[in-house]
Amino acid sequence: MPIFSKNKHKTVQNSAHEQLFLGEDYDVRLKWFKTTFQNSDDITVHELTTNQTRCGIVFLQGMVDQQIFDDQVLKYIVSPGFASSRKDLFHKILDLQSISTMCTSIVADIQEAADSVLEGKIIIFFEGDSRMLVIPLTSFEKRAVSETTNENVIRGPREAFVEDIQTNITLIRRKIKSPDLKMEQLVVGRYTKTKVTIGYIQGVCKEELITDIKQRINQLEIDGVLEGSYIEECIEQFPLSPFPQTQKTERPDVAAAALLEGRAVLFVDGTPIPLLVPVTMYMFLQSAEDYYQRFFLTSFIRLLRYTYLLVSLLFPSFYIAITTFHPEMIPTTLLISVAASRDNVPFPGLVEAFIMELAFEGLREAGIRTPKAIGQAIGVLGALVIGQAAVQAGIVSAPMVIIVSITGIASFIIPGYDLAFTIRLLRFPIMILAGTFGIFGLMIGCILIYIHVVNLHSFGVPYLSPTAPLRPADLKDVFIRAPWWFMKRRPSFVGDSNSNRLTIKKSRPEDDED
Amino acid sequence: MKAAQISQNQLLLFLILYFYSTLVGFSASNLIHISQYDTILVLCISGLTAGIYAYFTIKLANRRPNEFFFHYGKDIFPQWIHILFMGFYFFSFLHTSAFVLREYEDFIVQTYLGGTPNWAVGGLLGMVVAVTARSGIQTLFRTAQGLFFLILIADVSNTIFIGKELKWDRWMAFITNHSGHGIFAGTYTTIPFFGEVIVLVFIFPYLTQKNKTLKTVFWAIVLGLLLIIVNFVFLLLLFGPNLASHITYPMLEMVRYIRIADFIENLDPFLISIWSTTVYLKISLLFFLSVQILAQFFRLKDHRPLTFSLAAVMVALSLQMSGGSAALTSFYTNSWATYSYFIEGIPILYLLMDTLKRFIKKRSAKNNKGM
Amino acid sequence: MIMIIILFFLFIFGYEWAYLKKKSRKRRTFWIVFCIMGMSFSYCIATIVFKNMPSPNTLIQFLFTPIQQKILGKVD
Repeated sequence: MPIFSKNKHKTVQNSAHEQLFLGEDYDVRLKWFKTTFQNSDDITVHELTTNQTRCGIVFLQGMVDQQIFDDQVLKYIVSPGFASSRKDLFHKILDLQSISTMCTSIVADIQEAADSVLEGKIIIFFEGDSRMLVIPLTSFEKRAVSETTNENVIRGPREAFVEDIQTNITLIRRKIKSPDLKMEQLVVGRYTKTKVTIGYIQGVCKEELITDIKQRINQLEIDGVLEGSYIEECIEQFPLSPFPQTQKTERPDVAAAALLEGRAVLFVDGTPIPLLVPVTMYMFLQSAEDYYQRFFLTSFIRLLRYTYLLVSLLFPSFYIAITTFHPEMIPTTLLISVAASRDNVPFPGLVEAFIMELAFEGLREAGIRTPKAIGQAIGVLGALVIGQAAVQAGIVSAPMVIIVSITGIASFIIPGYDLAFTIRLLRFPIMILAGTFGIFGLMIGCILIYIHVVNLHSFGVPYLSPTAPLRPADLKDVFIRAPWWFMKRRPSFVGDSNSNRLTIKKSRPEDDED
Repeated sequence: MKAAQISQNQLLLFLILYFYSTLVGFSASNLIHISQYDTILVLCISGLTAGIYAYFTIKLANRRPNEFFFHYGKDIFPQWIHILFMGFYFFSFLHTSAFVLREYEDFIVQTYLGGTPNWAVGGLLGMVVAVTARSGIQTLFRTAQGLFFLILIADVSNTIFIGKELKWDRWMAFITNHSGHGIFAGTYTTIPFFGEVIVLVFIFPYLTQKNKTLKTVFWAIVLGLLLIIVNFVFLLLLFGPNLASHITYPMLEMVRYIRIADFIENLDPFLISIWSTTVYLKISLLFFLSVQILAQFFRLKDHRPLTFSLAAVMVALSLQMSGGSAALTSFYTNSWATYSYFIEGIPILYLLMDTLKRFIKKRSAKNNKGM
Repeated sequence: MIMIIILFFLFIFGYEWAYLKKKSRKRRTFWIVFCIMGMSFSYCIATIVFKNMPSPNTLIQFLFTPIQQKILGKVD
């Protein structure tokens, strides 16, 4: 929808720093390093002399493995038998790079050398040669791969992504062992120089998608990227929409499955949560376990989720509409008991619902922010106690407490946390509409949301596909989860053409028994 | 103007809802009043006529499949006549959308929101329509696609639950009771409903696989008729023609008959609000067309900046067009049908003129060759 | 009531202005859009101020009711 679309991205090129060559003079370069890294006491510039050649070593303390450097590099360079003359020294180190560490490289641009130092590499420069040796012995403390905390499953892999981008890419590489799996690296952030890697499977993913993503990221000029959300909010097509347009996951298997469907994964260094694009609304209602459990069970659970999605969005509004405008809709006995419990409540239904909903949201937020040790106390128990007290004090009615609790539970059933949050937010305007216009207002609210969602696109894919626009062939993995042997083609709305993803060559043994 | 894409499937589902919307909801009482048990026959004849309408309309549109009616019309008629006709269409689409909106306002206010002023209901729905029209015709058709299944489920469940309440012994009357005048008068007032397929001529450039359009429209008419007829048969079997024609909204009363397992007493607000979405779709399409014509008249790049202004006009018009429900009904029963024939005849006029022109051109070309 | 209409039109005026500016449309488009908005506004106000404005329905009825009656005969 044009109301929410952002048509102009600011077109500023990613700042490629200016190159700087300072020639062969050792002292000039030494001075340059010292002034550049002035007041940065963690950057060490070490000087030594070998074969009558002065050489400087620059590195960032705590980011390099000094032990290996000493054993594998320094020891040989300073040993008397390593080179016979200065010329031989340059030949061995700079021409042949015969040093026993991998991936060494040579730079002449001193700016690039400084950047390498900041990335945790070691720079060695020599008197009498403009070339500098870069030794990547980066090593720093990182969290080990651990169990998932947010997207739990009963059956299925347990490992979760970590903050280090290299580890995350490895986790994917270990699942998809194909040369077609591409990992393209970009660097974003003027100060943070954060690595952003776009992963996709060539031939399964649409070319345009990758070009589109790269273009959007390259248009970005930002001081720093500390989490995927920095990038997410800047590259999405409808920045003003409340609906999430990228999927987040902490599970390598979910990311791998997305890749296999022809979607792209955006890893951002420093966050354990990569972004998956494009996304449709239905993907937020699928959990990893859907594909690991038997399909009957999964289909049932999926339908349950859709029901609770509606409950989470509409239940309080529905209650308000019925009690205020259409009391004839519920059976008389129920109506009487509802009316009796509302008898000594001074507020109209709408206000009552707002009080309770806001209290519930507050409790939930408090539950997340409180320190773990006392957080348990506030959780559900606190809500119940407060609810009970509020009913006894005559501030809210008992049915309202039930309604709000059910709604709260319902919003936890939605696997995609982002979507659940959107739904929680949209509940309030609909409640106001229902409180003023009854079911008619409810319908208007739903239509408005629906129009918006129909209009929404996530990286060129309609948000509601495959239902609007309708693609019947892709429906088998939306409301239900068809068995694997039935999903023979890849979903066509994201990937590149609907080619085969599964063929069962032999007839299965039980087929013969019939 | 960049052409949006509407698939044939979307067109099919949209047209079914379009036919279904107001005919069942607002006009059932009047139609049953005129045609009694012949209603089914009347509906079938009207559907057939609609097919003919559609045939001619598509024939006209197919001659210049990728151009807008507004643009090529002036090659057929002299420019000033064409502009006049288009102005007429602009007004009539706006008027019809306002008219349907008014019917809906009256309905909601009378049944559910007693005490709520008309303008509040109209304003709210008008705003939704404006937002829809602003986001374009593709959104509208996609919306219909999603809503179709919801509406179908609601309607089917309605028919299932109402089944046991029907008085089946009335069925004999469908065969025995006929009246020539009833059929004639009923058909006369019903054809314009289906005749609204002429809107195709305005949305034709948006369609994909244009060669299948006639088939799609044919199926839309058949399926739409099926849906409508089931509802009418149920109305007649449930209330009989006499009672049905004296209730303002027989459809609503029928829905109120539903009782599920003695627990849910009244589902009607729920089902009616689902049905309401079809009315919203109808208003949106008519309103969109009117905005589009205006934008094309001023040769604007897109219609968007006009939507909210015109939506305000539509809502104001709906409130101002008549003093009350009775005046509205009298307008509808006494003159609406004839007025609609007048509007719906225009594309056929264009087709005739175009054919004539082509014929003359061909002949003169032949003569030139002969000489 | 008039206040609501004025507020609504103020809102859409600002909104469309921003929209047209953002798309950098021609001066002509601005004129057309805001003239239509002005007409729409005056019509809305007129419907409230003059309660008995002639309605298009009356005209249509005046023109077509006799024709329809001739075709259908008197339907009570």
